[in-house]
Amino acid sequence: MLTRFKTYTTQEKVTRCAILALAVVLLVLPLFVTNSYRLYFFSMIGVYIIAASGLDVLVGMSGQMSFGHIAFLAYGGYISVLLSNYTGIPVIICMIIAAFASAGIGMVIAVPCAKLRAQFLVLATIAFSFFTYQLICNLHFLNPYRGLYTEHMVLFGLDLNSDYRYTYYFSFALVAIVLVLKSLLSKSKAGRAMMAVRDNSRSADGMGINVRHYKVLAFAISAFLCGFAGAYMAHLTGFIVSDSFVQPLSFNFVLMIIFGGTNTVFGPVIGAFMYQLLNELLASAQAWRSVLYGVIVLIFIAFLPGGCVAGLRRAGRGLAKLIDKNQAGKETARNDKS
Amino acid sequence: MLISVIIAGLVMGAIYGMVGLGFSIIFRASGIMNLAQSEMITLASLIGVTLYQTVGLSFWLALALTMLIMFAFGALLQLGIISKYSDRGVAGIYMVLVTLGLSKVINGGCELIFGANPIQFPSVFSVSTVNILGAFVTPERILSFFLSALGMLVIHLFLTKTKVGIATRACASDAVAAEACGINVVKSNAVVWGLASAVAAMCGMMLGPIYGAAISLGSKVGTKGMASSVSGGFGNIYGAMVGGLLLGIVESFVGGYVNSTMKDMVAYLLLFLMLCVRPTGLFNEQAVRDV
Repeated sequence: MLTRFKTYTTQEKVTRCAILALAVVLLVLPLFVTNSYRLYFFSMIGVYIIAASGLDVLVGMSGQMSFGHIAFLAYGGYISVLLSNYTGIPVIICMIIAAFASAGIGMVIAVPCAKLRAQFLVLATIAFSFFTYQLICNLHFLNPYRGLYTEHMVLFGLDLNSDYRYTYYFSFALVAIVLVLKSLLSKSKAGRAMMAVRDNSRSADGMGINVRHYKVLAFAISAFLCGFAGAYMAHLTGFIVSDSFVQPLSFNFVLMIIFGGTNTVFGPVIGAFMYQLLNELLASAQAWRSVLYGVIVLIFIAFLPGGCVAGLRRAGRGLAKLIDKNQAGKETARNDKS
Repeated sequence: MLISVIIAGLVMGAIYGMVGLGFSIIFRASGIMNLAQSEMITLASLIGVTLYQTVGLSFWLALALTMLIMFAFGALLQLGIISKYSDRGVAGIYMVLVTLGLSKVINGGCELIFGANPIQFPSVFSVSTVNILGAFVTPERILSFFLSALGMLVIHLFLTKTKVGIATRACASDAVAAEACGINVVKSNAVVWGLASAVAAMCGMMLGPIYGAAISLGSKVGTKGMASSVSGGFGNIYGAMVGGLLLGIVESFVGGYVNSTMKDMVAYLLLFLMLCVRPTGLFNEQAVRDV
């Protein structure tokens, strides 16, 4: 009951206003942007945000690193596509089943991998992702080189794929759900246990936290989100091909969370927007893009390890201080008058 | 068939072993998994082919010069970038990310300088194939095998007999104690990175005639190199060679008798299973965390 009457500090108010403003802008955006490619472009950001949030659960929250998360997108995508193409189960349900299947695969991978030291875990995930790509290429019924067409997403009788405005709002809703769940997770017992494991696994172990259990759980949650993102990506694009799941693409998700800020709710959002924008601006300059992404990672790790969110937080704090000062000034002025 | 499969396995295995050696040397000395190592191979092969073909040096001169350039590049990379991050106390998982970022920069830089198209590596010898017990092998492959063996021997002698080599081993086993004995740890680390880059240069020059010099070369063999290091025991330089030969033979047999498209899959599966089942590799005990 206490929380209902909680008074917010100015900084919290500033943050809330900023988030609300962003949400409103994004909600009315399709009224002004009618170009269907642009809308597809924004819908795709939703995929990236979900996948990057998933990776952030693993990297930011539980302190494990993976350079192979594209593999979970591949499993999610292919499982969902195969299910919907061959069984006729509604696509939305297929996507959820695929996400759970992907989480299962993540768990199976995590059981032996969670005991590995950081660098070796990276290696294992790289190997896993390379292996997955090769596996897809060797399964001929997936038509890996020319790709498979996917079914349309239908939600309550509405064909989402018929207009990219629908997918835009669907992306928005999915992202909102994922972000809320993620912020709940970070406040829950499991989330705090994962953070304890990240900060010091020995002391976490000493406090009675089952280290292996939470590492595996983090892996499963992140595989769930990435699998869902993969399934959504496949149905959004209408097409699935093995080349969208090559190992180097995993780096992009790491880039997003490093740019946005690890272990934050909005880090992946900022990162995904930045990534998609840069990708579009530098579409023809592949080499420059690679250099730029590398440099971004190097700079952010050295100078802004908290990512853009840390920078924005600092700015928000400054703004809040300014507002406080201003209000205090007004108050004294009013007091002086009376 | 059997003999040619075995020879192909041994040749590729020796090269994978050399690639893995590059990873192992650095990991042993500084505990950093250097993902930029594979792009060093790309860079080296591109520099090598430029010196050999465009400048027109002899193969051996081009090899020596490439190794020298790469040694300097690797040492500068450690002094200029990696040591800065280590001094800041960047955590292990982010250190891997730093090397990955570097590899992106190097790869993009290679593409900007040398172009995206693969460059045909001209053959080194005038003879096109050599007959060994009925199997026809290109002389470049035989050269690669013996170069790897020679490289391994030279590195072994360097690490055990020379003063600088012994100093780098001392730093690897205990940096603080080594510093107390008057060894310059910073310089020693730079030597190690330079050495690993020179090894990468050798790999690049050996792989060039086989795959052609291209910007995708590093990613193609890098993971195989990691697989050989892991199966031999990461950080153990002799283990890397054994692991490389093992991987080469397995891959060659799968490619020869099962299906050539399954070849790569088996290599990655081997790496993954090795990490799951026996992360310590055949000769090392560092990969497992105690909790």
